[in-house]
Amino acid sequence: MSEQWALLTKVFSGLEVDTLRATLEEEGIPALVRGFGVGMFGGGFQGPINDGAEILVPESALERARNLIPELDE
Amino acid sequence: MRLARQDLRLAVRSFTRHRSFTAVAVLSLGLAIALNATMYSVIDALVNPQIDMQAPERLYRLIIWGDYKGKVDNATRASMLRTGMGLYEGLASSSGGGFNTIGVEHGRRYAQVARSVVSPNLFAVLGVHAMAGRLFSDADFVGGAQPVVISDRLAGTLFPDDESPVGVPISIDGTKHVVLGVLGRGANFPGDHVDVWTLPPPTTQLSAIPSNVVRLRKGIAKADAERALSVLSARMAMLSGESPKDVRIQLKPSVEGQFHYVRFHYALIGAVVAVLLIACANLANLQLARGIGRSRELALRAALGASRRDIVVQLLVESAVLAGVGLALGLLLTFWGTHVLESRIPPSVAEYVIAPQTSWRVLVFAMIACVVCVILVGLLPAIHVSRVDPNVLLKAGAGTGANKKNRRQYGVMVVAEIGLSLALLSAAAIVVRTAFQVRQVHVGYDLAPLTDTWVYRPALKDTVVRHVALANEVLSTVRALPNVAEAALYRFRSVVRNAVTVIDDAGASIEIPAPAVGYRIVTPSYFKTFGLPIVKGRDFLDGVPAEPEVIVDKATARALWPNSNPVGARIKLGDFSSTVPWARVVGVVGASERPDGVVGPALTRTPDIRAIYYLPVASDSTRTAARNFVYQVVTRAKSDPQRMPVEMLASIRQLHPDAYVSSHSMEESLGILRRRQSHDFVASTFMVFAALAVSLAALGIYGIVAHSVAERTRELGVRIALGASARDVVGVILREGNAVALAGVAVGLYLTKNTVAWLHAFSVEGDEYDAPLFAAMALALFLVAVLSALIPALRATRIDPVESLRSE
Repeated sequence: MSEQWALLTKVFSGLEVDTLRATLEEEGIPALVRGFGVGMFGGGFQGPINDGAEILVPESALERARNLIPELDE
Repeated sequence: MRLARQDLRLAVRSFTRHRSFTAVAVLSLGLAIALNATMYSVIDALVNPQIDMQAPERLYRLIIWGDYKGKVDNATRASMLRTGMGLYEGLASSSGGGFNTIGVEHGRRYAQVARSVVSPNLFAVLGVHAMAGRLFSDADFVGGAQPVVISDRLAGTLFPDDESPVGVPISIDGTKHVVLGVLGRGANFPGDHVDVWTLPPPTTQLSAIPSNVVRLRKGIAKADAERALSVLSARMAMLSGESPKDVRIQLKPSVEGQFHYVRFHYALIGAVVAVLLIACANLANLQLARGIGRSRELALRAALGASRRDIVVQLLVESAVLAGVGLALGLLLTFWGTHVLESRIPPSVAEYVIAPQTSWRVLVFAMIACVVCVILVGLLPAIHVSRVDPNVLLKAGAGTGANKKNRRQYGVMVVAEIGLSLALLSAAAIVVRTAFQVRQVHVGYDLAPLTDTWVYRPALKDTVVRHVALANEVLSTVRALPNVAEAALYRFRSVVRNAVTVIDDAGASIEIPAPAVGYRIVTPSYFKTFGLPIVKGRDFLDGVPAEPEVIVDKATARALWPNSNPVGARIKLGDFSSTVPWARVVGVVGASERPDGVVGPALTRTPDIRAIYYLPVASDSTRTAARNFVYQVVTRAKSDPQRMPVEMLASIRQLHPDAYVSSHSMEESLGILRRRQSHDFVASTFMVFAALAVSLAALGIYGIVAHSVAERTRELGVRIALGASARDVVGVILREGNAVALAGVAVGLYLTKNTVAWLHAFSVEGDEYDAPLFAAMALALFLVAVLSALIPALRATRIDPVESLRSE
């Protein structure tokens, strides 16, 4: 499995971070979260993240991961 | 031994004679030791978390990475994993936690917690025991009663009066389940966030659930097990049609040491150590002063044949007795302090501070603190006093006062006390100021009646969800609730390819980078529900617009259309080449519902582009993916908003029975409550530290000046006899004290400058360097020091010169 990580999506709440990570891991895709500085809000904070948090997955699993997240039809 | 007993008797007699000194000394030491031991018990709980699992080093989570789902069915996977039984002595499964929120009720008590669905043998594999009742067995699974195990934390919430929850039915999402047992914090799995454990539905075929928790056999290393499991992953890859390198089985330790010291921990440790040092310096000063004050007694002992060692031992025994009693009091206060602290720690500071745990390590720590005190308080002053020549000591009483050298030695320690106190006082001022700032913050609308509900709805992949149809369905259900005054639905989206496109005044399209901007897809009732005013243009109208409409907040309007009226302008929520539709701006809202610096973790953000709201047209839709379709509902309650989350959970679950739902007050959902609680907690903690430090320092200054006045009685008597006024006498004494206090303030400002950054996480936007505030604290501490010195100085003005000269 490639160790290069690619940006999958950006989400705007701690709850979405948890859900998406769990969904990906359940599908066998490791996920990294970048930009969610929990700071004073504590590890369990599930509220809004004003500037969003980026979810990264291994490049080799990017296409498969994309099929697991919603996209706005253009 | 006889001499030691004699020294002990002497010490006890001496302390009984000087009750005030003894009380002050024991109380200062006890408080300082208790503060240190309590804080140590918190750090200890973070560094060495209590784990009540049997041989936790052999417990692992089994994770399979790779594209095998849908290609190898669960039953096959479960059966393949069982073939590795030579490696492990137990296999179990656990799923959920984190976002799998459920509503739990008992009587009038309600909690929203995370649940984990586990195999009946999970707790046996973990090797944990119930705190009360019992844990699952196979019989519970086949029995069909669907009992639950709950955490002691949830038991405390639902059964606050120490009533046993065992055997009592509680309601989970409206269905009754009997509590089978209670699990303690050290047995919590798969993490500290889970509060309810349930079994899979009785119709589940257990053998078809792939295990994800393993206990390795004794003597089998993780690396060996992973190597052996690679055979399984290769078989799985073959069955999946994947390359063997793309499917991998990983064993992750179930219990990982994840604690890392951060700057705030250094601030906590520094603060309590400072209090201990202040207490020690204070007592050392008092002992020194007392030792010198007892110079004639010690000189007499020396003259009668006591060696220097005997005098040192006597003074050390006195200090040890003091420290021993201080330790006993300290341990008592630690016991009380840990209970008080435990009941006051908000979950929002769990990263820094968790419930303290008492262990043998805390006792050892308290004893070490005590030994440090004996050395600082007893040994150094004892050696100093014992060095003095008895002849000089005996003659000293005939002079006019104590020598300056002695007073300078007290002064050094008072400088240290004031310096440490100022650093603590400044730290407390910073966190208290921030706590006030957080409390004063207004979001611009009334949060109290609002409830925010998050819905995660399982949906088949590639299902197209129409926003308008979804909103109609959800809102008609929610608005039917008798307590709902208004409701709106919204979703967050990212702009396409990190940019927005607008048409400028000349009619040209301009692409503006917006890497950190998300916009909300909303329903027309959104601003009415929040109570946010439209300051320009109009609100979204009821019904579905012919073309997509957008409302922006004032900051965004200024950033995107600096020289023209934004109302009527066109915007595309994507880059220039994206095919997202153009939308028309119809209004400007006074402020965002999530104003800057008020809610949510503050990270880097795109300057000025803050809030964009998008009203979709009938054809706007989202292509869903498996188990990840999210929407939110905001509701305004007519009355009793506390009850609203329960009503929303029930209502949404009725509409979407398979959805994960989480519902909280808006204040909680925006993180405002957590932020306030965490700042209040840290502020009150540092206020205790600072109050103790300043009181001890004030006491120290008072003690030293009082002692100095007593020593200089003859000198002051002579001065008064020669015509010195009360003002002159106060001036003489305060001049000495002021120099010490000013030196202490200088040291304190230096310490503050170099340590205040440790509180960065609990200041607002990195503004912990506040020179005027530090100057004010320095002035306040200086005034405390002057007042402490003034009391004995005023007393000195009442010295009768005749009496003072006759007393010797």
